[in-house]
Amino acid sequence: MTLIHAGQLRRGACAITAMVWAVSIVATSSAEAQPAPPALTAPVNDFAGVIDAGTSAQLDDLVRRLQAATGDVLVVATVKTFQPWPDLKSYAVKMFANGGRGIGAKGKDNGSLLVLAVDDRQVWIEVGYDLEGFVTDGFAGETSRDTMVPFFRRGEYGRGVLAGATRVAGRIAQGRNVELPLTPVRPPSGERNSGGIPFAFWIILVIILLNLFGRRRPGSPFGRGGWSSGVGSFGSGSGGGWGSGGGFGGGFGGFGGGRSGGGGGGGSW
Amino acid sequence: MKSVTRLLVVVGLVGAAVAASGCSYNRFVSQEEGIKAQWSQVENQLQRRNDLIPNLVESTKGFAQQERDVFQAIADSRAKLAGASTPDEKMVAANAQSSALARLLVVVENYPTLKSDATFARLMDELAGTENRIAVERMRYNETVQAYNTSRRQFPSNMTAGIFGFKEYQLFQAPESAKQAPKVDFARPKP
Repeated sequence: MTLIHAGQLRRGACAITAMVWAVSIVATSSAEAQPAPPALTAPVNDFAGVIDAGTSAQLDDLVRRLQAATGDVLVVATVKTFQPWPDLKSYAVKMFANGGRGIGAKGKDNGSLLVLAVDDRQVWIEVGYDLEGFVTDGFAGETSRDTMVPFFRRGEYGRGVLAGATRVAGRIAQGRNVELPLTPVRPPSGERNSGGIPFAFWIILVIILLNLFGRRRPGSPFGRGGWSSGVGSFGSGSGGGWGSGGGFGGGFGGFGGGRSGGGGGGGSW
Repeated sequence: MKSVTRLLVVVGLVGAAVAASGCSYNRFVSQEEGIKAQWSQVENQLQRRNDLIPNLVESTKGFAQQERDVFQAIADSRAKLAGASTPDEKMVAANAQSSALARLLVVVENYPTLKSDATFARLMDELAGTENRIAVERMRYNETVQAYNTSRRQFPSNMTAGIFGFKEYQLFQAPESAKQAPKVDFARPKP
């Protein structure tokens, strides 16, 4: 009797172990107290809703041009708060991993995440392993403090993120020895005198475009063929759906399972 | 007849061995290798922090001469980490270093000129980034160790672990000071 029992056990051992194993893995992963950050699906993930459509399109264009030029992936995200996570840094690491579809290519780890927690008044640039050599902690911290925070202090979140992303993209292109034409973002001080009219004009243009093409989704021939990917993103931005990705000019293949190790820098205001 | 029985026993033993190795022995081996690989990642980051310390001490010394004991504690922790050989010793030394550095960060709060210095700010970025890297790699190390230790104690793989002497690995507990990390305000001093 005992022999039969033992025999059964031996035969079932692998199956049982595998089951116990699977259960314990599920148990440990669900035992994490914090809920996972929202999934990243696009170059710009404005969960907090603080980036206007025009800036969002510029960011989208920047990210895609960087990826086309160097193959590296820069992703932007805004959230209201990182809570209940203990700090923005650990939140950013988790967000970067993106539930297995981490930023950048698997094995290359050539991604970077710029995440802004609006209500916590903090920003962090999380850098994938491969980009740590270019976007050092010091560079990331400096970009946060000196480039972005002055905008954030004035509530100009979109332009601040754009300025920061431009600086990071420039550094990556420089590090890879690649030409990447960048549009400098004017500093926040004194912009009303010098840059007010073109900026307002840009917004009006965006609104007109939204009205023209916003209703033609999905699969608008204008959104894809006649316009650059940057314009295509307006449709998605107006719809507010990041998951569909229909409005983007082609899919965004930036989430290949890249990893980061906690490197980067940030700032607060 | 006797030889047939012997053959059956041999076949049975081989079958058992294949079953055992298939479902736990090889897994233990690969998990153990995973732990070692992850531990070396932790060590890399600890070393990185150790290498930052001379610069950090150099740049703060001029500003904060009276904070001798803090610098002494940091210098001690650096020597201790360099002298540690086993993972357990290194964990203790690393935690001592974390709390020494945490004290320095608190001290620095009293020196606004130092805080607004650009070089120092970048150095603090490196330190904050490295602390974060240590935290990440420590977490990943603990996850690997936890998975290994769990299967080490579970039936039936615990028998394999006992027979082949797979020892338990120690988790890298975060230092007490890290749980209540001092708030470093990177904001510029108000004009």
